[in-house]
Amino acid sequence: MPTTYGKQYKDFDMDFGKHPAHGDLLFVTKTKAINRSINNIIKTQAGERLFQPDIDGGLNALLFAPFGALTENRISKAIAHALGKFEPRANIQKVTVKADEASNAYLINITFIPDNDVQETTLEVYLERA
Amino acid sequence: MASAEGKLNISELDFTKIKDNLIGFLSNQAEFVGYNFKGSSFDVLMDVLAYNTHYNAYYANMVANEMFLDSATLRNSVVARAKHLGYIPRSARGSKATVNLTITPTGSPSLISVNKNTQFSGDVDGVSYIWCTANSHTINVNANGVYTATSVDLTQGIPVTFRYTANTGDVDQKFILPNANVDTDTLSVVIQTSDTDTESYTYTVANDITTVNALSKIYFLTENADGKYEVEFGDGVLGKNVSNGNIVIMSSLICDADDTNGCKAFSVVSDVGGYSNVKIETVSSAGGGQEPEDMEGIKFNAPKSFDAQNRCVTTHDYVTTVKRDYSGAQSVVAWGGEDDDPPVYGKVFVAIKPASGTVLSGSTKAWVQDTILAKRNVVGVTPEVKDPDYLYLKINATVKYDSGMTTNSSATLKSTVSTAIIDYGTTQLKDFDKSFRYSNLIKKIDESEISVKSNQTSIAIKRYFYPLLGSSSAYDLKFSNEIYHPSNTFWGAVTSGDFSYRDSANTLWTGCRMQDVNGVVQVYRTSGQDRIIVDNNVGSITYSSGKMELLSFKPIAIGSATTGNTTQMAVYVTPASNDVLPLREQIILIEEGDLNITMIDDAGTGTYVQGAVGSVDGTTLATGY
Repeated sequence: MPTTYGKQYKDFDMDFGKHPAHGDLLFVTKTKAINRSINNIIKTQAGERLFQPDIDGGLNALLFAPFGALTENRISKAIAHALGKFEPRANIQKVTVKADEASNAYLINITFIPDNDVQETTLEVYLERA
Repeated sequence: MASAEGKLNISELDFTKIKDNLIGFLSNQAEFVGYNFKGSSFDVLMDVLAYNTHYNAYYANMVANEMFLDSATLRNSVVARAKHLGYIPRSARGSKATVNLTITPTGSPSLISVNKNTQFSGDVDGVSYIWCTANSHTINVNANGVYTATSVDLTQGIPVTFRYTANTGDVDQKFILPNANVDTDTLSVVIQTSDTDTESYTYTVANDITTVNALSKIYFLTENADGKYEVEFGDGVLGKNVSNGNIVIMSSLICDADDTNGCKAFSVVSDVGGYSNVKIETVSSAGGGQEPEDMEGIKFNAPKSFDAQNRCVTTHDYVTTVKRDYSGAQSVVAWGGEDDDPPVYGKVFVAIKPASGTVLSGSTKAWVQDTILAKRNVVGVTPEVKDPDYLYLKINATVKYDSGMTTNSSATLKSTVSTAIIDYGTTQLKDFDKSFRYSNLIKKIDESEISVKSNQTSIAIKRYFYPLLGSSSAYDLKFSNEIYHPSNTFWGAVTSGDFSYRDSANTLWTGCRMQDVNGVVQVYRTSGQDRIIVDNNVGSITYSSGKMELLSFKPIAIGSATTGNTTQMAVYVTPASNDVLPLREQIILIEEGDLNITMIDDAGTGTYVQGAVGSVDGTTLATGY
């Protein structure tokens, strides 16, 4: 099986910004590409993607659950499950969820090892109830 | 899938495969790495690209499908393709009935006028429907002072009139019949010159473009994209065009299609010809009502109508033309006179099985001959409409069943077997060119209920004829199937219903029947177990062709009838083959009264039952029909 260590993942930036020097579409690379992918997955609802209704971050139903340790734990499990299923490049180590009741939000820290690296990296995601 | 060389496969239509092809293609590009992960931005873009490709492929596929009559799935596409073939889909048809009216007026008018669209009421399944006279009638008083109109045709439907004022400045003006169940057979199109000038002209539907000129008062009928019928007028070259301010008056019946078939009794809605004391006698019950032609019907009929080109040359043309122009026909068959028996050169025969009843009235046959066929067929050929020739199957079945496998009684099982046989007759026979297949029938009987173990079934062919009682006449009875006759000493393949007959000593015997002896048809009576010949030769039978010719047959009575030729007599033959094939206008029917079913409980006993048909001589044949 070919190793992915050191592989240069390259994706375009969903902000569709342009490069200041030559005006091309901006890219995201390396671990940042994986971070964007994780963000996309956990913010996707079931049925949202064309012809791929099973892609689901699993958070939609939980964001309206009451604040509490139980909900935090369920969010953590849902994220770990979704990433395990849809993002093979991230070897998930830990998902911590902390409620910010005052802001109606959750602060989520996802710790993983990218498959093109040996260093752990942590992605911080802030989920707000609109 | 995309090839390893980086070529993009573009032949797929499915979303997933299109996306796989795109990914396979891009895997050879160094520009992006990460498009094959579900969360990547590029994967979302892939979705959009694949969706767009899939959408366009689907659209192109559908467009191509809708371009052809065979593959079109939308009604308006099918209708549009049929239009190119000059075919107008048949509209809904109101069922038709015939009645006799006897009016008792107050006073003694010299005549009574019954207008077209005079309304009657008729109930079907507890629902009341409106029926209208198809034509106007003038009734004169007869010698007995009775006012009677015979054979008044009624058509089901509510009369509705639509009026449009022609506006030649509006190029988009349409003359549409807005109701869904318009019966276009009843459509009348009249153009009034203007609001102030009430002179009006009746326009007729254009069926034959070769006879149309600039002054022809014709209209073209089409079905539009919404499934509504639309009237179009000529352009001043092909048919007279409408002028600005003309009032277009379109009248037709809005019918209830086949819901009203079978209506037998009618009553007056308000009055008939101004009088309410009306006695209505039903001559023929309602039939011929049909739903609008469906897409399958259009796909089937349009190419055949195009083949016929509105003229009758081949037998197929006759069939197509009659089906198109006479909505009361359930099925039609045609054959050249040279194929008839005996051959009749210069004629084409058309047999029509009506949607309701078994035969057409004489006036309807004449109308089909003279109005539909005579003006479209080849000069020198005379069309003749015939009735279907019905052959009936007499079925004797001994059915063994295992009572341990069912909770049903013997009587219930017998009813179930009977229903299975009747269903077989309804679905597999009852039409021209539908052959009776023996093995299919016995299979149906075996499968009619789980406890049925086997059946031993024999058949006979029955047909009716109407002898003139008290007179010696000749009759041809065509069974059209070889009759069982294994040797010259065999007798008993023919029998009949009972009738009265005089012997050579002029003694009248009741309970007489026919039998055959080596090609000769005889009349016999029974005395105990013995058969005594009453007349030893009333005709002949040709076993190979199944043709019986009665030459000097003079029955005196059938049942209580002693005069006329309106009482039917049944004649039965045993066919040589258990499969029975109809010829030309023949139709095979199975009726409940012709079933003789015997149920035998064979629960574990292995009961042996002698077969119903013997093969040695006539004494063991199933007789006594």
